Amino acid sequence: MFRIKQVLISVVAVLLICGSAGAQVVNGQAAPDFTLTDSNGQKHSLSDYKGKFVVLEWFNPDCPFVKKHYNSGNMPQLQKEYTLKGVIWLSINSSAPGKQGSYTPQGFNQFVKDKGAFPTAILLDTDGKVGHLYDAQTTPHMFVVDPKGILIYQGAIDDVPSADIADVKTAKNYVKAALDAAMNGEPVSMAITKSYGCSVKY
Amino acid sequence: MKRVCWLLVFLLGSINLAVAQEVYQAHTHVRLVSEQNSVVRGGTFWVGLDLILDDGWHVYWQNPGDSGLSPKIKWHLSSGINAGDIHWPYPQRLNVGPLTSFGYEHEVLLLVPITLDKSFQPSKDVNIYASVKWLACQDTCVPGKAELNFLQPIVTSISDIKFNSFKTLFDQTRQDLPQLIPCITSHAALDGNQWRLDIQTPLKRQGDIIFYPFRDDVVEHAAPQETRNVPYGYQLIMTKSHLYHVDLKALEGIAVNPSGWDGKGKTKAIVIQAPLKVVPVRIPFFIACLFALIGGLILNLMPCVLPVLSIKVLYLIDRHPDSKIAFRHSLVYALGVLASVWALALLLFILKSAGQFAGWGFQFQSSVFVVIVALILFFLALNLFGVFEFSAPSINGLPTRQAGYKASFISGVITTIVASPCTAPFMGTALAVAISQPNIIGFGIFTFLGLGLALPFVLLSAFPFLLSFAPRPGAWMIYLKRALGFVLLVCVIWFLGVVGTQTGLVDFSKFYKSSDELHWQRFSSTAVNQARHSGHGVFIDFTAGWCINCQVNDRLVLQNSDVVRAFKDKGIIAFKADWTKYDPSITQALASFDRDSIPVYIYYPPGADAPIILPQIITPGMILERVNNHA
Repeated sequence: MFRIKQVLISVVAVLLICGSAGAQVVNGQAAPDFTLTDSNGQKHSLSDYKGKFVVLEWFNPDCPFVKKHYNSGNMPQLQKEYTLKGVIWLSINSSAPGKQGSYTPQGFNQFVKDKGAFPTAILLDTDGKVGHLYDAQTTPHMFVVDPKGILIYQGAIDDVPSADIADVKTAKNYVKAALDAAMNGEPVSMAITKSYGCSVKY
Repeated sequence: MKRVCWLLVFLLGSINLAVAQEVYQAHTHVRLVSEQNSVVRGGTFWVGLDLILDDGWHVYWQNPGDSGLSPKIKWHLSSGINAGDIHWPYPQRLNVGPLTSFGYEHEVLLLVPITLDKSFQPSKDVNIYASVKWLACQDTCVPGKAELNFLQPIVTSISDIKFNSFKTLFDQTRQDLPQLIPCITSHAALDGNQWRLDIQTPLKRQGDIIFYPFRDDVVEHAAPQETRNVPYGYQLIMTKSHLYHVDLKALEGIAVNPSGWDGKGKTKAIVIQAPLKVVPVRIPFFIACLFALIGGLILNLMPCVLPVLSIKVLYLIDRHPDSKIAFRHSLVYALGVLASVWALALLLFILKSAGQFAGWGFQFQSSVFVVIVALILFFLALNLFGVFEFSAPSINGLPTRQAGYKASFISGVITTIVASPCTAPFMGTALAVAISQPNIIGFGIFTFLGLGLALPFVLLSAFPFLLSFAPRPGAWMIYLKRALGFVLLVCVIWFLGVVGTQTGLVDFSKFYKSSDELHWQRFSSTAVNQARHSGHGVFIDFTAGWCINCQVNDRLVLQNSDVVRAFKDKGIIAFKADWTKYDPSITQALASFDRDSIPVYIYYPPGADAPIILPQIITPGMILERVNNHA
């Protein structure tokens, strides 16, 4: 009897190991759903936006890499261009309370105002749950979800990893390329890249 | 203002030779330094970017890991001066929450070789000038940017070159640069979600190895790495990066061993360029089981197995035993086969978990075992010759009741034992899966192999009409028995030859050497690597004295005059890896092709990275085709 039990336990263990292998978000599969509160107290779920393209942008206002893209106007410009085309742009902050980039809701609204940013909403992920769910590693770290809820891009904002504003001009923007391709019904050529930036301050 | 600065720089440079301009920014003191006070034309010297960090801050290695950014140097040098790539000392793992980065705390010197052309014109000083960008992080990150330079005087004679006080720092740093050590070889394989990196080294010490990949999308940086001590060196188990999406030819990076890689333990880091093992066609479990079943069925036809099986079949034809009893005996026989297959599998898995590599047929590497098998076969042969009859209950008969069951069981065991030095088609793939998978799955596959081996006899016993085509019992049976007895005797002689080779008493291979032979070189992975880099095609024959298919292939194919001529014409270098005795380096090489049974035939076309693995049963045509089409 004891042996049978052991065998059963090993079988279950094997199944569990196999099952847990796919915890990270995978392109071509459904992006995991989540619900977060924004800086104006409103709740947003990813599933609310079925039928639309959704961009998830991990950000931290004090990270030099994020500053590069906001101070150069690159990120606000992207947000404006695509939200006007009907894309939902969710900027997510996963900084733990007390860590760098952990702002009050008013603070985030002020940031949006100061930088002329155009996100659909700034989502507060203070316990880092959604950040871990998506395995967000850096700020910025970008994800693009298609109208069916399928993840079609994950990785860097562009192809020049640097904190230097001067590099924005020459860089190829991966998020823009992914959105443009997907909106034209074409496959995304660079669908997975290594994100660069500061670590997410979990 | 800027001019004044430059003037100062010039003044400082001319007063104090090779002193760097220093900058403190982003929690980092940064300077550009040289270890010598002058240089000569046509010579190479080293320049270092020295980064001294405030406590708790770090800068990054060439692959920064999960977050961060490596320092960048942009050189502004006059023509005639050329800067090489940065030589990075080995980094450390920096864990920030759930993320892991690779970098340096306290201080790091990044070394760059600079070459001065012979024809370099200006006669006085060389201006070593660079724009430097770096990112320093603690919990938070701050980017730094600086323009650095110093002047390096030129002298005409090497003997005028003096080293300065930075020499010590440069020498220390050079010790931390990853070395390329030719006698340490490595290869890597992707097994599902895991990287397996095998590092073969003659000098083994205890210690946990850490691997730092050059690319940022191959290994999950934050995942723990496990070092397994194996007979040939180390095996590292790492998690595949979720970003991994390219087809790599090699896993490249550096491996750091805290107790050192060389005799003195001074070289802590080595460069790893581990070619990727041929990724085995990952076949699903049920296909592996099917392959094992087919392989088991085919094993029945192997020269030493066939006589053993025939003895039992002849009995069925001769005596027409009661079909129910016959069937029951055949089930006990099947049980004997299965029990011994399971025992073998168990042994293999125990050896595997002990870090030993073993493969199908490994027990024939023991001379004692081979002698015992030879003895058993000898008695069976005598029995077939009618020299003596086993008294009932006998191994070859199906006598009544209990004692007879024991005999049936034993004959099942014998069938497995004499089958185990052979590898049938399909089996290699199935067994490779069995060994690489969790043991439960492995046992499942081995079970099907046993079922395949036992099936023909069980079927013949269960459905006697299958034997109705056989002629009526008569004198032919005696002749057949004698013929089979001879086959067994040949097996016995062959096994004795194996023992001779193993113990070094006789070299049986001389008996069957033909005059027109290939020049076979002794296998070693170093020799094979060298041969592959020489631009020649390389053929490797994994064989063993006790492996019957290997011997058949050797004789009929590898000694075939067309094959020999083709090898000679194309300048193919042939290696023989003889597994007759246990040899960890061969076992390891087999594992690198995801095989644990022989024969295995490998052909590397000239200059090719990927080997061609030939089937277990080869024909001269197959070899010629590979050799001619991939020359």
